[in-house]
Amino acid sequence: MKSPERYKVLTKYEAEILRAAIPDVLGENEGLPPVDADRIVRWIDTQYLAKSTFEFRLLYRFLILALQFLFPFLFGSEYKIFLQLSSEEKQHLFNKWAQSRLYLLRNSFTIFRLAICFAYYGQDEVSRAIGYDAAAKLEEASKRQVVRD
Amino acid sequence: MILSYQDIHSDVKVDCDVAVIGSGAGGAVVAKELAEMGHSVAVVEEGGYFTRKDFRCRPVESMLSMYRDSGQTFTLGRPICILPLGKTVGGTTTINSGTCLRIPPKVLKEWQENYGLKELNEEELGLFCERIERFLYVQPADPEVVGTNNLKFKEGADKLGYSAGFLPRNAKECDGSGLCTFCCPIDAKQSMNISYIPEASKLGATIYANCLAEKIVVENGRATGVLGHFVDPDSGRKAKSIQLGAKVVILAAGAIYTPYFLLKNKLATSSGQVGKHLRIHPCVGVAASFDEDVCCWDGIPQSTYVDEFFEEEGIMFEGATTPPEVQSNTLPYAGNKHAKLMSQFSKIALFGSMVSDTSEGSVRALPFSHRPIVLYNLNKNDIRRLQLSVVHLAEIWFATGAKRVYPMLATMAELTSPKQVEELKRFKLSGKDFTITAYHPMGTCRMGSDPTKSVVNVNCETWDVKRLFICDASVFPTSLGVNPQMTIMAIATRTAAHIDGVLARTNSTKEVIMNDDTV
Repeated sequence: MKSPERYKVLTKYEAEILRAAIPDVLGENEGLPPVDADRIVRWIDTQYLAKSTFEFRLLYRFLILALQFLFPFLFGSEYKIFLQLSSEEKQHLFNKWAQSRLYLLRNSFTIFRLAICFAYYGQDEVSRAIGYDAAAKLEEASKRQVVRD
Repeated sequence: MILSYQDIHSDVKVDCDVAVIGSGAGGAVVAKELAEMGHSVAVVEEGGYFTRKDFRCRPVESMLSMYRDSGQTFTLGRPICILPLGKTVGGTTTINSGTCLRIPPKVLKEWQENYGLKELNEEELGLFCERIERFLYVQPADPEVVGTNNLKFKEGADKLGYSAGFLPRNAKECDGSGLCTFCCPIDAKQSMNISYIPEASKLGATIYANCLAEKIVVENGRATGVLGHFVDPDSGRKAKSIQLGAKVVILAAGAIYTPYFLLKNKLATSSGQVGKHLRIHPCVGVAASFDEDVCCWDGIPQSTYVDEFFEEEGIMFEGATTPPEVQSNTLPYAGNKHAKLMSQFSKIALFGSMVSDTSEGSVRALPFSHRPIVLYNLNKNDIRRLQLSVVHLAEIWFATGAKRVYPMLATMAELTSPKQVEELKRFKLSGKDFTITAYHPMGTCRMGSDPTKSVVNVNCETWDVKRLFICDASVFPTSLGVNPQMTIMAIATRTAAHIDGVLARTNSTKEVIMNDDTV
């Protein structure tokens, strides 16, 4: 029997909302590798939120729940919860959130997206696809050390 | 000797001449200088000690381990500003861009005339700067490794006839890895963790990393020691205690944590100025896309400048690029539109601007909170200059051939022609329209000649507690307008020379007393 999913910081419900948000925050483009939302949720939970401050964890979880219940109402014309939105509707919501004139909302999108961008564009295969080869940089750097006179 | 949490197996109790809290540009310099003068020095640093071996060229890992609050420090106000601070041996110098500009003469003149700091003179500070520049190999960025991003921007500025050049940096044999702000992977950048701190250690100073100072001991109005705890870097739990007895205590925790420490401990607060007058150098960035590759991650991220508007407006343009996972968040849109931009990331350039702010924020310590509250609102003058910054950044990008410009404004996601720059000039923007970051907190324990209006005197000694010195950007009476590390180091070198005199007098007084006792 498959063991139930466990997260360090997020609840299963929060993880589900986040998982549903990730593909539409990042979007798709043929120049970019496919988005693995499961992996990104795990990374955000164990590598990012678990190492963040208590206040930040609280804020991030609040944003996830606000995304589910509040933002569709705030940025959409008819009321649906986030998980009921189509991909197109989700992207419309995220673009409105990103460009909101209300600076608190706009800043909160930056916070929400940052973790997702860290997780996705921080993957070697993704950054390599856009030309930035971190692994090669590391190898190159390991061959050189500047020593003070 | 540099000792971390894992090296400490019992409580530490040490007597020394000088106890230093913080190992950044102020603490490291004063520690090395005083150790060189023959004094016993102990440094406590809350962050861990990292070397290039710990580094994997991924910004997130550095942010989680070397940045305070994992890089999530921010100010509250209009707008909210992200304020990254270092929490590691070397302080913010370990994760800064390495720019080493001296204090602008007009700022020093203002300090002398308006704050009674006549003893801080250009000639003397110049000598200290020369000494520091030699020790840190400060030289203008090598045009061979500044990268296309910086060269393109300079080319645009040159076309418009704006004053521009290559920034002086504390780097030796830099090959332009492009990762200065996440700890240099080849030790080229001479941040404190690989320059002043190892030198201080060689000269006999002991550096305690993962060690949180909690209290400064004061007896008869004099600072006599520091109490604290080591902290497990994994769990954040308190471990063994540390007790330093000292003849002089130096607080160098930066312009956010130094006032917070003083407020929490109710020290040196009689003037009512501790935590006030916060300046941060608010920064805006403007990205641009080109038809050709720019590969903004190649080369020194902060290596060129445009100072055309510095004298009149206090605006300084400096390069600022980061790897894609960080920079992706500076681009507009979400979803497929954002993915399209990111798929062409190699063609995207970025440059920044900072404003010598006249807005003033504050650092507060709430009774039950274990972190400072930082408040900051932009005033109209700074908003106007930030708008001017965005306008000129966009203008320069178009002049150098950009196809589209992304000004990071709520009201305008992108500009597609220079005509729109003219429209942008006429916009009435408010503080809430900008996306602001800030990197240089200053001014929260200002220096001055009047004890009722300042926290420390010209020698950086607090008016209220003798033998307690402050050595970081919190002593700056106003905004500097340029990257502050060189000025912090110069003032720290000056303060060390003064403390040497204080300690010499203490020792000679003791000798006299001892001789009298013998008699």
